[in-house]
Amino acid sequence: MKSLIIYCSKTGNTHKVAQRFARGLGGEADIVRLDLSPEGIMKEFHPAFTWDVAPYDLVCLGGWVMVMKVHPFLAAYIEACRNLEGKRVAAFLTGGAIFSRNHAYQDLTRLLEKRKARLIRFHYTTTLLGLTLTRSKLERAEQFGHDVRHLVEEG
Amino acid sequence: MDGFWPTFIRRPQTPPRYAEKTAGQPMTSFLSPRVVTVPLQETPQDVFQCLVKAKDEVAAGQKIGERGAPPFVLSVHASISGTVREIDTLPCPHGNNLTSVVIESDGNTNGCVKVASGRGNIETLLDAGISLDYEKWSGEKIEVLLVNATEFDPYMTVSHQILREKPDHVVKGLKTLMDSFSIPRGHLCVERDQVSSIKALKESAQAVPGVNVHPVPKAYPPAAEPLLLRNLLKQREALVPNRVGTVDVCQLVAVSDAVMQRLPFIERPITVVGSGVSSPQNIRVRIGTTFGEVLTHCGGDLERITQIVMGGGLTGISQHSSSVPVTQKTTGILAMIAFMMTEGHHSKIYERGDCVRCAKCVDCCPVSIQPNLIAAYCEKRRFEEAVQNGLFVCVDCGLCSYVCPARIPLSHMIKTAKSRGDLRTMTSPPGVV
Repeated sequence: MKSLIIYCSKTGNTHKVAQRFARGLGGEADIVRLDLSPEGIMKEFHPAFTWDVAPYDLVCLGGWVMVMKVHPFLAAYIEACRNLEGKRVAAFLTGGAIFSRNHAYQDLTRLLEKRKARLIRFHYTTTLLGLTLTRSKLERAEQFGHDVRHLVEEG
Repeated sequence: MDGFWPTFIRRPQTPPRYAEKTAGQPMTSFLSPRVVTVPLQETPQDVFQCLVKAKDEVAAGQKIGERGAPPFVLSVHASISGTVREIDTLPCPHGNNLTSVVIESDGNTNGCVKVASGRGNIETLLDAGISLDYEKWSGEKIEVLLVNATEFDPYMTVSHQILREKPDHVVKGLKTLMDSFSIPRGHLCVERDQVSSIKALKESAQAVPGVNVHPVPKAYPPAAEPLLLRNLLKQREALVPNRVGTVDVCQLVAVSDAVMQRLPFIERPITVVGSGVSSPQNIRVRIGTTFGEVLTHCGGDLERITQIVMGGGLTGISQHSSSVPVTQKTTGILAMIAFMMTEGHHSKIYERGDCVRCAKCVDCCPVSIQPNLIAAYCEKRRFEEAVQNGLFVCVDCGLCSYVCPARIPLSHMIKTAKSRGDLRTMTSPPGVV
């Protein structure tokens, strides 16, 4: 199974979650952290970054929730990437508080429906600026990676 | 820089240099492109004459066209040897469509046709295709020849690299121009932190009377040479632009090559940098090589790159296609991966807001005009007032857009207003600057 893990992180919480998720997922994975300037310009060359997701079996999207919506960078990637139609997508979002979970989930499903992608699993971590990003939450993220792997392997 | 921080924290007035990726690396070469597109004109109004037709065989350095009216007829050369595919009106990186000759390479990259010898220096320079302001320099009494060897744009390091590698050529080129046009003084301005280049230039300039090397504290934008001269000589009358000639560092090297080795100006160094290329570098390319080919050579993937800019981040021009050619005035290519934020996900932070009169643009403006006021007049289409406030004094440095906390595209608005044809006749009053 070849998977693409693409996420944006500002303070490093989503980065921690993404690392644990990748450990749980295992297999061959291209991990891309979107390091962008506020205007949306990538700062450094990233060899694994691609707009074309055709070669991957699974696309994992990660990001932080900004004003109860998926972060603009992740939304821009979902709208702009090629060959997302019919792809299996797993998403993990992090946010300050638990009450933005459903709003962000709705926003994400709307974005993915527009691209006709299939959201197989969704995970939300409450971080509260990193204060509540506990070890158990990271373990849950790793478990989420395991679950996604099983789902994909079972078809 | 999210939220209220952009407004209340003073950002540095100049952007970071981002020079560490390309500075100090030896210059590489890419002299074997498959296809080149050589523009015969510089602006769409230029008079030109094409000397070849489709399916002609041309050699590198062979004259394929002429530009301008007599007595100063500039030659245009084929930059590679091969076959002429077509002669057509094609886009150029400055935003115009120009008549260009497309040449397909035959794979032979050795040698080039040299410029005819035994003529005067000015004729040699015209034959070598070096685009200088011949008419002004010959007709009027030029007192000072100014070379702005500073790099104003972030990412661009090509001038520094030329100074580091060829200080002798730069001084020789300057000497040649001063002798040919009988200009008594030449000023070469280098940024103060380029210590080794300054040392080498001063050593070369010792034997040449009239050439002065000036370390300057900060970089000046390419169009702000009168300002640079004013700061340099501490004279207000130095502002009179008729007595000042300006020339580029790359052109000086070309002048020296043309006079010493009889080489036409068919290749130039450029900086290729940005998040879209894996190996950013200063690279020597043939005039007319398409941006796409240069980027592919430097490890860029055209599928991934979403924004291509000719020049640096501040004064550069964004391109709509990767098929535009490198011209004699291209200093570099900035290729970036940019995310276009879409409707509904475009946060207010990144959107354009209202002007809060913070006056950061006024603080940073190198020519001391009020960009916010001028842009507001331009937006209301009150161009007369915009011109009175110094619309045409603007040197397109782009710093106002960079510092604006409300993300108002000031520099873009001013540039658009300046390009209007009906404003050309207006002049700003003398007291503006």
